[in-house]
Amino acid sequence: MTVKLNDAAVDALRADIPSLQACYQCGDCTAACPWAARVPGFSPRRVMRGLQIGSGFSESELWRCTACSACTVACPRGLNPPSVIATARRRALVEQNIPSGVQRALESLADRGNPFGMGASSRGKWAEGLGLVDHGQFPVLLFAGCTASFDPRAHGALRTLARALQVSKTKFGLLGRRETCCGNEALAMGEVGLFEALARENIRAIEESGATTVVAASPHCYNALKNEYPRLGLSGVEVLHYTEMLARLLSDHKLATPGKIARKVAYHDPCYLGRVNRVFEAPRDVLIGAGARLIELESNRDGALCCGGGGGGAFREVPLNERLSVARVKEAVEAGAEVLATACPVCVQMFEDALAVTGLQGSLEVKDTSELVSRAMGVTVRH
Amino acid sequence: MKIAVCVKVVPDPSEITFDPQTKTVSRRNARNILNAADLNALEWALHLKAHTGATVWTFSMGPPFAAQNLADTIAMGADDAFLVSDRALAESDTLPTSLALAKAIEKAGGADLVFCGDETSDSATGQVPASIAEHLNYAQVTFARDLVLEPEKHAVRVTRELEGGQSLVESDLPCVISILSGSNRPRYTLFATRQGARASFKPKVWGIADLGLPREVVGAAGSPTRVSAVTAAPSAHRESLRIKGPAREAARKLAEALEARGAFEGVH
Amino acid sequence: MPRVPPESRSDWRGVLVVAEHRGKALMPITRELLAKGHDLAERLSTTLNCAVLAADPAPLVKEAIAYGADRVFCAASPRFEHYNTEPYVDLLAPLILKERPEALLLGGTRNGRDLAGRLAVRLTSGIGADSTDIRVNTETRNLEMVKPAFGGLILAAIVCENHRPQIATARPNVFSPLPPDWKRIAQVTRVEVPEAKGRPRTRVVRETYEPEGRARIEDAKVVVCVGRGIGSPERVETAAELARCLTAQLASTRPVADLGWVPHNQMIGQTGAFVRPSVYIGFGVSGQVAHTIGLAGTRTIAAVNKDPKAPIFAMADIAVEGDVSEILPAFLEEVKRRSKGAAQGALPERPPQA
Repeated sequence: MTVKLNDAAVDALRADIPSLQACYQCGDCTAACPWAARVPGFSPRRVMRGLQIGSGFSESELWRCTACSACTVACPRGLNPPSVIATARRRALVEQNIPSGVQRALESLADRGNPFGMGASSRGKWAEGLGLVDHGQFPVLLFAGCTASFDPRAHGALRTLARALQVSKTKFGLLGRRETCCGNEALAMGEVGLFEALARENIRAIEESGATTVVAASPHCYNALKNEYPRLGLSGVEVLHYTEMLARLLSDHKLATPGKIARKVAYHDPCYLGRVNRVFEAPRDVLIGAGARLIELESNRDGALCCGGGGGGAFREVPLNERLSVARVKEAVEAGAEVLATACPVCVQMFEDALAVTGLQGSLEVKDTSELVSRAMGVTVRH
Repeated sequence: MKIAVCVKVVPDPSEITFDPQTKTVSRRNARNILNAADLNALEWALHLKAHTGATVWTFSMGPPFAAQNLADTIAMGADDAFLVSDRALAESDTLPTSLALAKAIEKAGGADLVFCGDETSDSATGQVPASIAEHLNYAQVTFARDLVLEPEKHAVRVTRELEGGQSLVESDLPCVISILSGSNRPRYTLFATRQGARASFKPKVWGIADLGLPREVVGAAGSPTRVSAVTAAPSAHRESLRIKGPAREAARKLAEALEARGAFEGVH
Repeated sequence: MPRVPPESRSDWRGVLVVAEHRGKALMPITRELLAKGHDLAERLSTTLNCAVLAADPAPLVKEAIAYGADRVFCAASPRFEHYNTEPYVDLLAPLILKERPEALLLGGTRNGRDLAGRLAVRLTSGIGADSTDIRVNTETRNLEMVKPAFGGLILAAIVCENHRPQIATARPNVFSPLPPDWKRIAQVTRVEVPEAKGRPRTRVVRETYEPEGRARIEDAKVVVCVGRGIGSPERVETAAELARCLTAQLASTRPVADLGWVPHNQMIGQTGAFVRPSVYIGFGVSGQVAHTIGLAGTRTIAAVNKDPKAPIFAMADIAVEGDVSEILPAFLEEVKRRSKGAAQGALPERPPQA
């Protein structure tokens, strides 16, 4: 199953990606890539080369990348291989070289505004019973995102986050059913057209809400809202990740964390929060302030190992022995952590899955940072 | 070679609810989508088109908004689309529905192959393909998992999937074939391509007068059957029943609860 | 028939079941239809007829009588060896117009629906398709055919008031066959099979039958699913036995497939199979969204899990809180106990090999 690029397609691709020719094949990307380290023969350098000269490459090579951007950080020419790969994926979509899970996710996004095949009308259900505002105007908007909205496992974290905002007396609201997928993953999977349609819908809803601050529960949404939406018209809005918001509220004394977590917590930097958007300290400050005994995993901050869920990774089947999430939870257990804390609902899903399959559920707990902070705040929410 | 594909626009099954007060099905939240099995049928037609250069036309009977979904079939690769739409067709059962579709295919010049999905997600009768075949006086083969064209013989070999087995059938053309849901993976349509088709493509729209159908043979007047009552199925309310307690008792209650919901119909 | 005015409706009497067979025995659906037909015929004070079209009808005729037919119309011809649309329709349509049954019962099987759709147009009448219940109004002699619709969300009652015959296709495994009485006598009428005008437009090349286990998970009507909470491959075996007793398919979540306890092609979820069964019973399934999205369209979801907050409970119709290691074996016992009870006069489940 080879994606061949004929000449017209290569020319078009080059026109899409002006930077493609700047790659001088140094291989620093491959040295940094977590997949290259585990999958024999996979190499971002080779993918870039294949695109430069128009040779064919396999479906698995094209869909392997989880957009962790370790390569981007490593590249001496400031190139961005994940976005080059995303453009190549657009060709693959047209040529029907698509893993079935990815196709399902994209079709569901186009039809229902979420990748899970769930009805759009149940998007706001996670907020039931909290008395939250989901219409009219408000200064702060909590952007829930698909994973947190539809995954019951993530509802706990999202509900406690909302409750914490209520306790801090922040005037905020939700888009409710007017929220649709941020489109970050659609873009990474090559669907520029779909991404732009989703983005425009969200931008319109955000403008109607009058919000000047948008707080994203997921780093994926955070990335899209902050880095991609401005060129499509979003302006006059400050975009924060929820850990940044919590850090701000704590330092302004609008929230307090009197109860102390007192566990050994390893913090995992989600790729889109840490490496891509350089937010490393806010989540750590928040955890330390809540009394966590923070330990650092060997690969942390810029060097953090990807959980494997981004860039469409959550929709693809990956053999057990190649899974990054399995390596990461083992790393946490070996470092002596009792809790692996992160700040992304996708990471939480990937790590929980990894615990289930390695039988390590007894040795390690996976938590979203908001859950730990809320516990320390003494905030509890009915499920 | 001409292939006609019949498609139905249905409410998204994941968004349908039943209102026990008004005793009606609520489609309020349901988008209008193409019936899933019909996409498998269309995919087969497009597959044959790629291999034989056949022309693929899609046909649907529905309200005017179905034009948008027919544009999606063009985006997927169909060459043209026809919508049979007329107020007089409301409340039609499978007899006038199949008649209208058959007349439309005839008016469009007939076809060598007519593909339909095996059944729809809403009414799920599975009768329309066979009925279309009788109206057109074409051969029919239903519940196809696989098919191979034999152009030299002007025939098609179809693997029908039966309960617990398969039947390999050879059929002369023209032939109506109902396609098993899930028998292939319908191709992906790029969002931009779909948007483009929706913006620019308009299907031919025919009413009953265009098809030469008098009022008496369509709608409620032309339907031998009608729905006399609608009730919620026992499992329609997802009120969760919680069972706790010692294992033997819990197991017994589980079996009872499953039985009460008709879950063991089909288990001896 | 085009509309049959009330005064002519008395011309239409009797219930006719069209037999389905494989080899020398009737298919289970036919025995079920004969039971339902017998019930309807009694209520209508009329006869139950059965049409048998086969290469060698004799054993099938005997069986049809044993299972309740008062009269059998039999047609013998090599062209009836396997079901084939047009030979069947071409024989049955004139027979029906001649004998005028008020009700025609066919299986909601693939062949039954193939036949019903064509016959209904040939006869200009209506079908209550895929019925799970058929009632009758003895005054008007109209059937009320109840069928599920919208993915099982509602039950719709269908009537065919002004046309005859009223055609119903019945969902398999809903009606229970009568115990056979091999001493019954009934009228047997041979139907002449007209000369074939050339070969039929469709021809059955061959039929093959599969052992039960090979069915696809996507087509499963009942699913027994194991999640990580099942605990061990031994307990997966217990779940597999339960699946066999329930005539269900065994499935799993991704962690269990990864561990190799269940084959990968039986995995349900985002990157695996999507199923639409009537019943799904999950043992030790927590209900991660990547798994549950494969369950959309399931009519009844039951789940057993020891974590009261397991996400699957939010979508389950029946939520059993408890230890899978105890409840699974207890439930298996319960199922075995119930099927022993029902097995008085049990019938062979699998159609005979040709």
